[in-house]
Amino acid sequence: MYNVVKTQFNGFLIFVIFLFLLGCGSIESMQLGSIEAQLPIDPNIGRKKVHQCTQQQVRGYHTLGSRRLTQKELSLTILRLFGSYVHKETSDTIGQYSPEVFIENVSEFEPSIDQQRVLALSNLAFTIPDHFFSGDNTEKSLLLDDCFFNQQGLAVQSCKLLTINKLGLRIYRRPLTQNEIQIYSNMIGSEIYENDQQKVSALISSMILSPYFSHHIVEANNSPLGRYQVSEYTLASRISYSSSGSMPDELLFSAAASNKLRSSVERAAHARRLLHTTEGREHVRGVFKHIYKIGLESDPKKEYAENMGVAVSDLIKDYREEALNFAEHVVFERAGNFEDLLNLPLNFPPSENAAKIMGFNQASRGINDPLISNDIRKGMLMRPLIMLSPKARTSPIHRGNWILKNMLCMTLPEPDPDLILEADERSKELDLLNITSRTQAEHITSGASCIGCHSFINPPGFALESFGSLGEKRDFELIFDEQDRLLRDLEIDTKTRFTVDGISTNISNASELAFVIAKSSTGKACFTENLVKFTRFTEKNRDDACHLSEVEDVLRSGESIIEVLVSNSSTEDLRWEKTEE
Amino acid sequence: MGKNRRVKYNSSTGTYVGLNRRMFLTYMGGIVAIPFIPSLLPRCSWAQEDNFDYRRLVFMVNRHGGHWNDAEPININYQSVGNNVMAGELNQLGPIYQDLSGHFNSVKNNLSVLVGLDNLGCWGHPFSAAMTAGVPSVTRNSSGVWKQVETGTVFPDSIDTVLANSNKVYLNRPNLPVLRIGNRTHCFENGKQISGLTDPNAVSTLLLSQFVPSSETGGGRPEDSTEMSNLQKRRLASAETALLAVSAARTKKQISSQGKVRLEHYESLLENIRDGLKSTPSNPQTGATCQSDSFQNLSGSDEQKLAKLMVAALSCGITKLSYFEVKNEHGFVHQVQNPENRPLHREYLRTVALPVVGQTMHLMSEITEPNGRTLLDNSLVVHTSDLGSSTIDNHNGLQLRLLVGGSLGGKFRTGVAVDFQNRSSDKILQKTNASAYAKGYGIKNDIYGGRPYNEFLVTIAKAFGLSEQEYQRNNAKGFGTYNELQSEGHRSLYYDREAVGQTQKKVWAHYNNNFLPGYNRDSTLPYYYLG
Repeated sequence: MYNVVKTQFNGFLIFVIFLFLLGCGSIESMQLGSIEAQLPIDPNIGRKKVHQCTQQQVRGYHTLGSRRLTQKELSLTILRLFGSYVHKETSDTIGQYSPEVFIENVSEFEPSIDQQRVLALSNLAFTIPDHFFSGDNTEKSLLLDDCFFNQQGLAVQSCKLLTINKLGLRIYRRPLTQNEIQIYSNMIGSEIYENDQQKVSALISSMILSPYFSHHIVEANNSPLGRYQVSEYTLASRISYSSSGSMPDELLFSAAASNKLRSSVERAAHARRLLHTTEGREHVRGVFKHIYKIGLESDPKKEYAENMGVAVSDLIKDYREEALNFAEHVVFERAGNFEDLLNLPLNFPPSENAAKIMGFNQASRGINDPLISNDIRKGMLMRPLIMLSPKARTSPIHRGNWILKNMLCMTLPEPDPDLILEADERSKELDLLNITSRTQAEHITSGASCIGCHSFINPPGFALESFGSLGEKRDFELIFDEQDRLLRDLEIDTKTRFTVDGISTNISNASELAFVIAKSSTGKACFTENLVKFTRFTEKNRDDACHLSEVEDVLRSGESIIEVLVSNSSTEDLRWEKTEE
Repeated sequence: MGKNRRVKYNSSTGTYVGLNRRMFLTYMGGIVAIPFIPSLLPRCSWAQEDNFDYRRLVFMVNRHGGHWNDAEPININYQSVGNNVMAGELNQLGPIYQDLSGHFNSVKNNLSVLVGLDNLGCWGHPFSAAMTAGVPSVTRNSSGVWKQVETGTVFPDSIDTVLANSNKVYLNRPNLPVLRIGNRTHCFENGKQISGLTDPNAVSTLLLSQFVPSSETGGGRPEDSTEMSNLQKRRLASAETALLAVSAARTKKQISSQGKVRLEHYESLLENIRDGLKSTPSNPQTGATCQSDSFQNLSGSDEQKLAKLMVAALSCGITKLSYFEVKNEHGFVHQVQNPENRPLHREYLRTVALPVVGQTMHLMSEITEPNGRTLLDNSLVVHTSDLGSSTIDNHNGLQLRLLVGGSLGGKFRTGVAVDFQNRSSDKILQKTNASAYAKGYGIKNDIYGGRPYNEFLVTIAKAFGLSEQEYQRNNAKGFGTYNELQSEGHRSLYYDREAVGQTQKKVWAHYNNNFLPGYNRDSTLPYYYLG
């Protein structure tokens, strides 16, 4: 009887969960559906794929054979290699291996190691062994063979070789060659080592200082025309770093050892698994940080914030957290796709202060606690962080420019300084305290020589005018005098004509803007490019066409972002390294 | 790879150019852990070098704040000593400097307190730096360089960088012209912030690496006789073996020529690490011999160790210039509205932040140098912040408090409190904010406009013998920002505006009336600077 009741109860529970999940799904579909119903868009928007693969037979990466690890990669590699205790103890030193800051694009990444980073690395090399041996961590058993803990330890030749091999495999991320084993064996044969711990410490130090730890170095097996086939271990590293920003784990090493990474299905399985690790999540947050330039914002204007009744302290920090939590939630908790990323009405204000600005009475408790928008705020584009401005007045021009650059990958020429002066002159004709930011922008960019570019730049900025300079939803633009006293409010106008994929569409607000970008080929291709760039830290080049094409296919098919990332870590291109021309 | 194959990557051309050891070690944040053996205070001996200039400069900076009301010296009998300059014997330091294990009081006669210097062009931490006289450091171009460098409206280097580049300070530029300790320093070069070190082990190794290997000293130079420890030998072996790995890696066929250059670059830098490990402490730049245990196994907190290392580096001639970031207490500045904040802040300064300043000065006063003066007296040790006095929020640059140790070899007056406020001008801040003052955050005294803080930095440059051309650019006089008094340039009271009304205009008026248009940005501080 009990079992019957239990079974019935379980069935009911499953039914409830099913309904719940159905309900969850309907939030997005309702939102998306309602926009779609109101916004018939030209069917040609999103029709044409951007990246095309024309040379299947010469696919492959073009990495030049070596580049240093990024700081994030170094940090996550140390975490996976030596465990959380060592990672925590060395976090300050890892911090001295300067983090990468991307102002505009990935081309600013310097692939060569510099002085400060080498010094940080050497300090890590000489301090990690001490922490490794003093900490109570399970990584000891992964890095050291059982024989090390026996009485005779490294005095036994076989144990010595096992230890060198085991350490080498993980720190070099590939098996050592016989010659390398011999060199290390000779090194620890000296009298200066008083015990086995000192020998292992020296091995760890030396291997960390080797370029195989600090750099991605391509190992290749043979060289067909125009490209090398990379070794299974290089392949494993490529999968691992592109999906989790860290070195291969044990399963991936095993797969490399048994040649089980040759099919894209095998590679995809590992990439998918690694993406869902702690490092994978952290890595994806890092990728989003680069794509959306999170971390480069300026402080909001204090007086404006105070006038809006919020504290300015920690606001940027909260907003950054909010934006990344949104991205992480969409990617991992919802298994959302690109359109979800731009359209879901979810919010994660981490503090009451941020919640207040975003129109909520309480803060979100984390990435599993989304607050549903009761206004038009949707998707990544409308994160308050993206809307943030250092001035009280919003700048549709800056916002529009940001969207074109970062969401549509459009390269716009720097404005002619003379034109800026001309625009300044025009702005003097205006009574700024009596017009909206939109009117101001329209006026100063109305010159014949400005409008060419600004007909693209301004409209997406206009659509976002429903958000103030703190990212708060607004229906009116508040105008303050020089003493930050409120003078008046002016009605905003978010209707505009936005052009993407070469097609102009009438849109009436920010969520329609996001919707069109999400549907567009340009938006999808741009996100694909950014994803690839910021997982590999190289600008795209013509050798990437097939890889980009394949990843774009996955994204365009409506697959989840996770699957897009999986594709990025498993295409055929990973198996090859193009030769120097 | 031989010693002559140093390379440096030029990102604009995509090529690598020669990089010598000196260039490598310049500004490097050296961080190789080193063996520890017992030691106490720095032990050094100088070779006979008659030409060695013993003057040093140390900045100890409270980054972004300090509660300066309690730094006011007490019982000073101020007398007029010149036009708008008051001075009196330094009888008693301000409350926060007292009772710090006697460190400050033991060097009292070698101290000065300066009041009435205003860091113009500075209105809050994003825009301020104590060694540049207010440069908008957050306004950067895509390369992380101040935009004002492009427009020519600021001098792009901080004072330490200016001095380091001068042959008046270094006839032969050492490997480490400036020792920078701190996470986010106030030091800049070409408009870019220079990071420093915070780990005593890292600083220790950096300092030890400044000595050339014993095999290379030659010429009968004195050397430390300390033998390389086994730990040092083991680390050397690890580095040597790693170099073999680099050498093998860069010959692989699948590495492109550009990839190979990257590895050669790494090899070159790793060689320097190896060389540092080989080194024994003997400094051919100065002829000084310093025992390595002055740099190792130091006792105390990390901050105390760092201070000892800095003193050892200065006394052994490894460097003449140093920046030291005093423990950050900026959080208090942001919590100033909290009524309980002031006593907590004062207590924090007294017990946590400031002891290291006193300890440093005390240590320096204990070392007598060959010219007969103490290390402290040969130096100028400046303790200040980029943010000055305040009414309710300590985010402006007015009324910096400077506690200065030493006389730079007799160039500066000591044992005095000097007040540069112009009391014949209008007060620029008054005790008008009764509620703030009642809570304990109001200014203690009314504040008059003083002299631009730039002049202090100019005075230092001149005291070291620098010519104007060395610290001026673009035909603009003086040092630091060039347009801080122009429209929109000066926003020093931004944070205080609500509290004290139209003070910004008063500051403007003061500087317009007293320094503009005849403002000579190249002035030295009267009375205090002896020349």
